[in-house]
Amino acid sequence: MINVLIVEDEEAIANLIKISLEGAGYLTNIAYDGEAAIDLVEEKQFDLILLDVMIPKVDGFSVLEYVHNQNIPVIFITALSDVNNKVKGLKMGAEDYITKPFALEELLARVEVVLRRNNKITDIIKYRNIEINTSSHIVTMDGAVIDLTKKEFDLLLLFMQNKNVALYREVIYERIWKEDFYSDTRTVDLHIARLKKKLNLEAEIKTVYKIGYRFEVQS
Amino acid sequence: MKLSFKIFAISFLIVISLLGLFGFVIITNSFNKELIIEKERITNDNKFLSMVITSLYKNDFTSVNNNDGTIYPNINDYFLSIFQNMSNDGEVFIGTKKRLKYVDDKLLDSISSNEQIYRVIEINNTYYSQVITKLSNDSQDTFIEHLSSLQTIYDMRSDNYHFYTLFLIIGSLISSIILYAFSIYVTYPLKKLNKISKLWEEGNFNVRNNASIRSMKSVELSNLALQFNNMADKLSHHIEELEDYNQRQEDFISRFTHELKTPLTSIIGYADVIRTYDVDSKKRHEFADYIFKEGKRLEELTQHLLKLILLKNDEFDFIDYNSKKLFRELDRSTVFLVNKYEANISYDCEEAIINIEPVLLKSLLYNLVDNACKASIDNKDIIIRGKIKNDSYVISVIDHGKGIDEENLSKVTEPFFMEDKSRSRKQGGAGLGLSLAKEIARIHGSELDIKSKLGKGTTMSIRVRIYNEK
Repeated sequence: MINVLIVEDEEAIANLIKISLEGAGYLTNIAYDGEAAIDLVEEKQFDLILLDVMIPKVDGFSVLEYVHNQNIPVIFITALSDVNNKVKGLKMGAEDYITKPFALEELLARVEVVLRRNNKITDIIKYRNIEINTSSHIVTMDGAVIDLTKKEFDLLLLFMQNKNVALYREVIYERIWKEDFYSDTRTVDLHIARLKKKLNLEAEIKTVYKIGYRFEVQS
Repeated sequence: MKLSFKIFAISFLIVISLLGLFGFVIITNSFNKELIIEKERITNDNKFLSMVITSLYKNDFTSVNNNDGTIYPNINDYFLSIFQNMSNDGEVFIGTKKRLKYVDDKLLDSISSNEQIYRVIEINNTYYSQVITKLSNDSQDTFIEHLSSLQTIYDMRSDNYHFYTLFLIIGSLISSIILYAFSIYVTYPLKKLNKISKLWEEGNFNVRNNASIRSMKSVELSNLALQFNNMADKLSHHIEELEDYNQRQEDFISRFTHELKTPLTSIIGYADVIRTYDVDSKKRHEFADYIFKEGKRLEELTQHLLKLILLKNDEFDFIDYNSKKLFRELDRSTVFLVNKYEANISYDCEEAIINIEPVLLKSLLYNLVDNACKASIDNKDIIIRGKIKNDSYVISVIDHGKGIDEENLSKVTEPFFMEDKSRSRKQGGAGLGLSLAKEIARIHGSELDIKSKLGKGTTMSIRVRIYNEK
């Protein structure tokens, strides 16, 4: 499992990141200041660090300098939109940055990109007899290529990344179609029905009454 | 044109023309003197000879007049030989017109009898001084002429001119070298100043022209250099102030962005979680609580900011106020704090009429008491003291809490500064309270005086005016 260290002095935000990362299947640890972060890095093995720049005791850039020697990829979080800080962070070896306020979707996407770039995760997501190649967008079932539309592929990925949680229909629509939702649920239902059929996922993708869908996996 | 060249050219011209004029005057003067001496000598010789002849012949020239113009030949020759010897390099002619050399009738006619004339004539590029005396009787004019070459005097003058020209050429060469060196030497400090001011132009304000001041012998230039230094000092001071101001502004903006974006991140994030996933009610409550608290924080931030902005702009109504009344009202408004923090507030106040903006001052004092409550841990005694000191009234809020770290003492009134961020967040602070307090103190014409010892407690005081009956 991928282990992510969250360094953030705001409890609310640290918790928020933790929730969304754990939802996507990562393990997390939280450090509320720079000192605790360095202690944790010495103690445990991390695959990625999400680092706020403005933290007490030891500031973010110093932590960045320290962990850079340990070859742990770092994404730094900053409320400062000025270019200097971003350039400074990137020059000091950070893999990427994200500015507050950020959408959780964006955070997860950046985390995934950095992890993949550092070979911490493969491009291939496996589930049962299904293999999803996230870079070539090819899906195979028992070795045979399954022909999916772009929307179906995106839907499949969304479910894979949000196992065992009920997703609202409206949000599914917004995430996949990138448009605001106008009470027309049929589009979502139609695409999900086709996806279920193509990949034999009738048992896993469950309709949740009044809410939307849940991808259920027996652990 | 370069200044050094100007100085050089002008002084060179002056020196050379003065030298030339001087030499010319000297040479001409000595030449004239020589001429006068020569004139005196020749006229005296002539006068002497004419006196001798006059006394010898008693105006009776006819008897001795011959056809060839000589007077009596023997005497003539005799005299001639004597006088020829007397006038070293001159010639003497005695007799009628015919005997004379270099004369014409017009000249001879213009001479009245027994008169002597003197003139300088030029014959074949040679100058002569000529003296003629006319001795007359009834029938005949007899002339005595002295003729003497002035060539040596003229030669000497042209020799002098030549020599002096040579001297002038060599002199001008030498003086031009000296003057050039001098002009460079004089303008060198200016060059140096120029160089330094160029460095300033490039923004390098640390250089000063101390070295060139020392090298400057003249007061004007060293004053100028000093003035330049002062100017640079002032400029760099201003620049530093501006940079400082910019830095503070930048800090303020970056802190402000941070303070603004942090709650926004939570609000947007948790709202996103709730609307995306069907979370259980316990979690939903937890997330909604985050959203609520962070929203509150944003509200407080905006309110404080608004106040700060208003305080910077507005004019205020100061009124005379009884201090007892002020503290009574403060006591009433802090009841909530006393209950919340279980603090023990006591008053030690002298009565006075003070000139204040009561709403602002009460909000300041409330703020200070609030801070004191938050800082207190074990000993929750908080003392509010009002003392008359000279013409002013000093109000202090004294706590026995954890105190402020010395290095943070100057920073606590900066906007968004929080000593213990997570703790003050939990207590609902936005980091603007003391900035506001400082601003209100400023409106009352006072500093916000902070004295603190780590672990012992903090005293914050402000000074307000006492109502003056006069």
